[in-house]
Amino acid sequence: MNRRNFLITPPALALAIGMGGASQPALAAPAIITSNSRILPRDGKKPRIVICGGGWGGMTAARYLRELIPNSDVVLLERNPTFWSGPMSNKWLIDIVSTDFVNHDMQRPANLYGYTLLQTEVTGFERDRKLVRTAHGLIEYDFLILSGGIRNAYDAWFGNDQRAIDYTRTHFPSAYIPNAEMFALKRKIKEFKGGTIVMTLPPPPHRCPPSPYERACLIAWHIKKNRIPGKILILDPKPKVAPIHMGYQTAFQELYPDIITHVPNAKVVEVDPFNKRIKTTAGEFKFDDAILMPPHQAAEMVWHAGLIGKDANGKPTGWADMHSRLFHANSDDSVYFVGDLMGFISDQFGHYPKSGHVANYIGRIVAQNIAERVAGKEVVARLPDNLCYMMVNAEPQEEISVKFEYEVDAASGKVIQTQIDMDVRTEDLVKEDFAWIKEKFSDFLAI
Amino acid sequence: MKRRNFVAGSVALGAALAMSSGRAQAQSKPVLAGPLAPNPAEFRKAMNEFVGNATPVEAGLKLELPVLADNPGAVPVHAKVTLPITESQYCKELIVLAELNPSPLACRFRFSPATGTAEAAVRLRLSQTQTIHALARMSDGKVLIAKQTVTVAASGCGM
Amino acid sequence: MTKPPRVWVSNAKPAKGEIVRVRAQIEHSMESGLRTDPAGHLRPRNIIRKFEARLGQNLLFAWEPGISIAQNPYIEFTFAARESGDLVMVWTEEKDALLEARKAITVS
Repeated sequence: MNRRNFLITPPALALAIGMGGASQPALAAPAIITSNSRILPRDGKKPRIVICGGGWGGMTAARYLRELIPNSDVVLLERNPTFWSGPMSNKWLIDIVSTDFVNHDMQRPANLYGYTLLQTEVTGFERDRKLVRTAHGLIEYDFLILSGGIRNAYDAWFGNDQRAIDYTRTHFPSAYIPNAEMFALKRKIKEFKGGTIVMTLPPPPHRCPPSPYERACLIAWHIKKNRIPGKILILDPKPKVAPIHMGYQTAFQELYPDIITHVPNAKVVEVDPFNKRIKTTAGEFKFDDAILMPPHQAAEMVWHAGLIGKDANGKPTGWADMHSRLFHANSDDSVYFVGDLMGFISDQFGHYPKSGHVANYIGRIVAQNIAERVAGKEVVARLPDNLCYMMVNAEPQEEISVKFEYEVDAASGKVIQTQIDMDVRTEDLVKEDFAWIKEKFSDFLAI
Repeated sequence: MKRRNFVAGSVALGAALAMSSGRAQAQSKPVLAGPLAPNPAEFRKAMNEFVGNATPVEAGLKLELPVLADNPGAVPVHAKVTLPITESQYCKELIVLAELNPSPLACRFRFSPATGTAEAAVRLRLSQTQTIHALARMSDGKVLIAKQTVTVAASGCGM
Repeated sequence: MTKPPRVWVSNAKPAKGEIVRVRAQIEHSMESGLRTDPAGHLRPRNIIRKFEARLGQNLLFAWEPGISIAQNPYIEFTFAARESGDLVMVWTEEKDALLEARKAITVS
């Protein structure tokens, strides 16, 4: 492959994408910037850190890298034009918060903290040359952070039947990747006239473990409030509702006894989206409408980078192959992982919860670790915590919560998790939830 | 706050975790030694002290708990006196006993004529498969009793 | 201990005689005194020893947990609504009162 970087650009664009090295004379025909163009030239010898994915984790890492490494050249690549928060998006579905609450401009924090934001799609990597491939061209890095979240692994259900995948995606959207499908799901809820909505839950580990139950509760509240003759069937691969088992169980029984049915041990065997049928290990179900959440895996970029873990049988784990305490790739310590795409941590609990809170926490830890390396200091292994608030009732607004604490077992060196379920639903937890999101948003969105 | 979960002595690991954090392995032969060993003398003492000279009646007290405890670190237990509660006939106290736990007297509830009911729910941590007992003393001296066996199984963490 | 108790009541404005259900939970490790730290030292027992719920002058409900009560102790009880007032709940650790919660109850 010819990797020379010829720029074939109209003059007006030449400046924007300009860089040192050879350039070709302009052609008569409209020029194309090829994906082999080198963009974002290096600024002297400043350490260049490229972050792929501007969510909770990536934006946090960008801010703290700029603060902790004053001469750093930080580039944040994000495919969406604006930020959309996963946390609070269930509440947005039934208008407890507005679109402005979850959807934010990213340029403001980029300018304020001093990093370069580029809206583009990451298409691959040349790690041997420390290059990121994007839809706009090649970008050099010294350190790379992958923070692209998750992909919907529809292939686990449909193999390579693209027609079934597309039909499922477009008719029964999962709406777990901001902000794809969020509006489609919101419209679907608003237009729901009755019948049975099936919700499939992904097998663990998956994004935001307690949130599918929150979504079920809030949709059920909408159904109850508007007296819609509807039911929600939660098909859960787990043996019971978890986390916050008792809190959710009580909410289902007391608030939505005629609406929500939770079916445990319901692993998806076969999905027929065209005929609205689903076969599980707990039986076969027909549905009128559905939120079909396929298994989650690390975002495509980790697969592109060739950094997916392998299990004992050599099969892909679906998640990043990384150091459990330092968050860099096991095979490449210039690549770090932040957020939901992270891999295995401890055999006591598996993965860190794939939550915004953890992504924000790890984003900061990784920034600290990279800063330590750039400064030639010893790298300190740090632990996150996690906190999730979940709304189960919208009138009055009541929430439950789960907290996770981590520590290292001195004897084995393993990370140990303590889970604290707060099952009593209260209004004061709603206040804490909004105080929590305000603090987090101010941390990486500067609002 | 330190929440690390180590139990003194070398005991069956699963049960150790069950006592301390809600993670446990199934106990096929629950022979526990060390700090998690049952204390039958204390169980009998607590039972006898509560019952006194009364003859416990196996009616009027409802005890509810799961038959299978998938999380031995938090087993929900609900007790309720179903006899009519009045100012003159009310429940004075109610105890819950976990027969094979190292400290069998799990808790005591006290009520007053002002309560107007006699009902409570708590969560126990259980060291092994065993019988849970509830005993209630009414204001007229009557003692009500109920019991149920609970199997402590492996934890379904789900995360 | 920074988090306040979580308290839920089934109805803060009950009719006279109505049965009110109360649920309360706090974050507490309920250290049993049976566990050791990694160095092998016994961790001292530190549990919630007493919980009391009062309405006006009346003690409605008292709970004396032992070491078999789960971490983050959860308590649920009921009472018959007879008078208005503050439902005051107090959690006591080994020796000292630790936490307090109040809910106004208005009997109609």
